[in-house]
Amino acid sequence: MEPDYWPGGSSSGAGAAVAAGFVPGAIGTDTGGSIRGPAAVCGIAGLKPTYGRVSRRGVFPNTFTMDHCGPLTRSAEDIALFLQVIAGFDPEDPGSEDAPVPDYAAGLTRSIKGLRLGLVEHWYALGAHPDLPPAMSAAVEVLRGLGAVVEPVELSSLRDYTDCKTTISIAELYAIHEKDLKTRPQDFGRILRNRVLPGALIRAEDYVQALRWRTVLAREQALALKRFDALLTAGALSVADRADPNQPDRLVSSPSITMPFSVGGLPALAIPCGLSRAEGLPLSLQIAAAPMAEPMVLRIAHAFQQATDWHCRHPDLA
Amino acid sequence: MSTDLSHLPPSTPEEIRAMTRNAGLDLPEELMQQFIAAWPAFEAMVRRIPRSLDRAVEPARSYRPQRVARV
Repeated sequence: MEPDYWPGGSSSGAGAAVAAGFVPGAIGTDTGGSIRGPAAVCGIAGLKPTYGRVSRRGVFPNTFTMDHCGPLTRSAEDIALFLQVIAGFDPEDPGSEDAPVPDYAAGLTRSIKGLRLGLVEHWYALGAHPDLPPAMSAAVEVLRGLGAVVEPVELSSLRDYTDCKTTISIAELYAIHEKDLKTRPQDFGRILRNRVLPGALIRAEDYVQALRWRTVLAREQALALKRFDALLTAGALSVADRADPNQPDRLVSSPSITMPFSVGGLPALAIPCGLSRAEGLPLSLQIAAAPMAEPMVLRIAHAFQQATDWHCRHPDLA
Repeated sequence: MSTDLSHLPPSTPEEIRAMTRNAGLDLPEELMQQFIAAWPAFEAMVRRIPRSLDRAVEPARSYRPQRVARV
């Protein structure tokens, strides 16, 4: 939307290219939010599919147990078309799920009347951009107007999810980069190096306990999704940061609202739901559902986008 | 009894240097200083992990020999 702002990361180029209209869609990778984050701050749609739904073969690894590939486009409908092409079993990816691939576009236009949606409001109620809670409330009212039943649901804190995800991630990330960090640490950028190096000090029991905690947190989400067809929350806690290489590393400065669904391995889609008043920058809604329930996520997002025009607003870069 | 390790005092710069050396890392001083500044936030995260989960809770990592040991 604004060239002076950072398009989020780490699928920064994919997000910026789609937002600028250079391409109708792009593939990103998402370990803790690297598809949904750029989508959220660029005002586009970004889907982290279910873990194992899209092959990771050939992608440079970050965290083996949480790496996902997925599409970024301008609309939920385009996400469905894109996902149709890239979803499916790959025997060369040990994490790939051998599950049938549905027709993602077929169910897009089904009504969402009567669907039960759990709103995880406490994740963004405090400490978020001041325009985010009102934008989320407006989005919820749109969904209610379409017949969905939206009720609050409480899950563990963002801090818990972020601690669990980050401990697992840095241990796996360090294993991938150990050789290079020992032989040429100066060749890493400062932020990446200081994200990877802590993995050297993670003990085996820390890693295993974090993996066990992941089981507990994932079950908490599964239980919530027995009561609800999908979960709603914000796609990002703030708007885009100004493009400044000296910005503090957000990974450690604040919890992440995308990481819970990384921990759960659930399909999660970020779509625009408003603009901030002061900066005029995009705000985002995140929709997640049970494993392999991408059709549900896309159906809700498509219904929302048929009733709103946030996804139709594009930057004038001329 | 505490269910995590968050009651422990933060590691001192000297302790961080020693742990880093023990991990086989020989960082230039400038990078070591950066790491000493970065590590406490990660250490706090790791120490908040619960340590008293039920014994039956399996790690969220499964070994599927037919997939992993595929040749």
